[in-house]
Amino acid sequence: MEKYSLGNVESRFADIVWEHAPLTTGELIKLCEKELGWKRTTTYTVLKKLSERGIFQNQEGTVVVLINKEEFYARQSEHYVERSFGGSLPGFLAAFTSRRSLSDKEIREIQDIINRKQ
Amino acid sequence: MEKIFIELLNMSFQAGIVVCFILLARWVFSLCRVPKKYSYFLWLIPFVRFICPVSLQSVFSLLPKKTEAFYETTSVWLEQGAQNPQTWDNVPVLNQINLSSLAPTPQYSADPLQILTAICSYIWVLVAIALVGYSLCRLFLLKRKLRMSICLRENIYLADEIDTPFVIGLIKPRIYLPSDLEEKELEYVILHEQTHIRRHDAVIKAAAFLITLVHWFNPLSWAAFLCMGNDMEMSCDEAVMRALGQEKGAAYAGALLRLSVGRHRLQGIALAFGEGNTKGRVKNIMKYKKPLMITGVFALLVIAALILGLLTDPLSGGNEPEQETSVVMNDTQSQPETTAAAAGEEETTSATVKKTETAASEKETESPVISYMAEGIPVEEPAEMFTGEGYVILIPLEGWKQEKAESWVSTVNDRVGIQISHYDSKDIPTEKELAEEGFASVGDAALPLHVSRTRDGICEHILHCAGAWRIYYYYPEGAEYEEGFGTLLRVIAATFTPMSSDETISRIEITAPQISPDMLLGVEGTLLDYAGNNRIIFHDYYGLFVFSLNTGGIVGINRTELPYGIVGAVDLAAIGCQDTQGSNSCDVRVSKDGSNVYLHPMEKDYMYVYEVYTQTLTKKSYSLDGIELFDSYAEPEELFKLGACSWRGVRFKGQNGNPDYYGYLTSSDYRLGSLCYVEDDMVFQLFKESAGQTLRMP
Repeated sequence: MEKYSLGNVESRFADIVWEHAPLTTGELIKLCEKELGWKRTTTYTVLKKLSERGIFQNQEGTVVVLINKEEFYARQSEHYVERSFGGSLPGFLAAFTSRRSLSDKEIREIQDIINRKQ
Repeated sequence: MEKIFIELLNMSFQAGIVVCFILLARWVFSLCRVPKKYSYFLWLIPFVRFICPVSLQSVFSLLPKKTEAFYETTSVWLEQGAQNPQTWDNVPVLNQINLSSLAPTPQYSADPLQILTAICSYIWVLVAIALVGYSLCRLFLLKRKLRMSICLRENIYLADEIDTPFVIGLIKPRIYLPSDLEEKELEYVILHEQTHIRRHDAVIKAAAFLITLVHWFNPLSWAAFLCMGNDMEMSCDEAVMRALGQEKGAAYAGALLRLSVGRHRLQGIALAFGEGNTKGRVKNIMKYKKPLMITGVFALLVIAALILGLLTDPLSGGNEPEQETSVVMNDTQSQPETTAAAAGEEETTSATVKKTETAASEKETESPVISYMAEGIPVEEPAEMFTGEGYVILIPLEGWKQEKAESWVSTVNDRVGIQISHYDSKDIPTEKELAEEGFASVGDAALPLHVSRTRDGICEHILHCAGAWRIYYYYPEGAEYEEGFGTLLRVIAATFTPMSSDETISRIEITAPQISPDMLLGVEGTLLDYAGNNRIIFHDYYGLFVFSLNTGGIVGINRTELPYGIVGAVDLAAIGCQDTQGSNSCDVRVSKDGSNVYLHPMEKDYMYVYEVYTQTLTKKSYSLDGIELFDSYAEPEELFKLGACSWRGVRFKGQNGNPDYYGYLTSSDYRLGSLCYVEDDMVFQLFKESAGQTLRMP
């Protein structure tokens, strides 16, 4: 499993943590049991897995967030552009627009982003 | 376990034939556009045959009658052979896996086939266990992966790490879907999996998988399993199509296609949505039309015919209709006539009849004769060959009656009898246990155990043969009984032959060699194969001879004593053992006690065994394992220095510090008439010099 990708089930779990963090493992287990119907061991397994990917950390019974949700998805899309378009954002945009044209509003937003960087 | 394995081989073989029929029927069905649910149902037949050892008999059976002989034991063959010897030639080819090894335990068996069976059965069990274990491991790993899943609704779960939707669980089946499944595919997939659950496909597939693992060595069982899986999926697709209506077929097929592209297949117990050949399934879905009534009727008729034809065995006896419901498996012992009749029929019903190589010498003895020495006089008694379960024994025609199945008594003296019985392997008494009952060893080296006791004026003997056979005979105490009945019973006991398989042992009629004093010795000279126990055994191209050096003493009581002169002779040319050199030469060895001679034509896989005391010759598969052979041969150079005519002679240990001495054959002019045996300072002339003499043996 790649570092910056979450399966749908994993992301449901990650959402719970992002929403409630920092929280104790006990609380997390209760939340997961209620929302996902998981057993204690399953929660621990998934938490461990996501901790290994550097997203969360279990600090003596308290679950803390190392990468927050926005950061994670930003890195994920960076990673995606990197992998699929050799890091070329224009390439990505070209692929994105090849099938449908951008609306004026979208063009303006992109222009704003570029202007801010300058 | 070998028994179970052999049973399984039988079933596997028969079911394999059934699978071929089903594959054919399935092909016809697909040509006729018969809905797949019928093809799916067809697979019930082979899988029942793969595990069900008992089947009914019917006249409709499509299976070859031949296969029935798989079940039969040697006893039937022997019986048949005893009744009409010519049918011995008809050995069914199908049963090359010689399933009738009757020696009780492989350790005692000289039959390599039986040992092979034992080895194979162990391999079978080990691989089957390994495969089941491997499958369970896979299942366990999958289950562990599935813990991390979210319930979508009811028994439907989403999981990340799976590629394909599937149903798992036999009692409480759950549907697992890959969490990245698209919304519009979801409903089709769920419908498909729910149909599986409704039809209990998971249970059926798990059972079929288990049966396939047990029959892992049979490629047809794997073929059946895979084809059944395909038919299961296709018939499930059809059920979904019936529920959805035809217009949604394309969307359903699309979902199937997307899910199967680039995904792994889950083999074994789980039921996967994208499983099976996708192309076939998509085609089947797109072609799907509401089946015509007539196709259904046609399919049902074919299925009914196949059930009748393939789930039943042919009748074992042609003319007894009430046997239709009798069970084939267990009737080999209780109804030997029936099975023998069936086997007899094979002559006409089957083309696969094998002719055994019938050498001229291999003639069946039409009426066997027991010949032995009693008080120095050769006696010949016409006898009948009795065939018990797994053995044959010769009983004299006159003066004996069969009391029970394995027991004969003398009609001359009511205190004389002989019994054959078979031990359960755990019941074999040791020599010590027998000693506690007053049995003392007779010291007969040729047998694993021969003990006797005298009690209440009756002399009782117990012999153990081939591991688990017991021969028990008794006669009144007293010298005249010893010499009469004692000798006869011992000779009868010696004719006992356990049958390890139908082909490997057969009794050969002995042809007496034709010799004259003017014949010359062979190119190698005459070989001395054995010397000791007051007798010598030698052979050359002109024959094998046993010559007793016993010049005095009582003859006929103790088996180890024989009258002076030639006491046994075999024409070796008649059995193809006359060559002493070259690639076809015959290796002659003698057991350590000089009671058996083993003649092995070098390039053959059989040997002849000549028993000195009973003067019988049998043909067996070649094996000298576990036989103590006589090997006190002298160095050829020493022998030639002494003037021996051949390289084979015997070196005797000198007693009381005397030097070793030699026993060898010599001939002054290389003629038979002057052939002599020299031992130490004694010289014995072996053939009397008188012109034109021929030798007739008893």
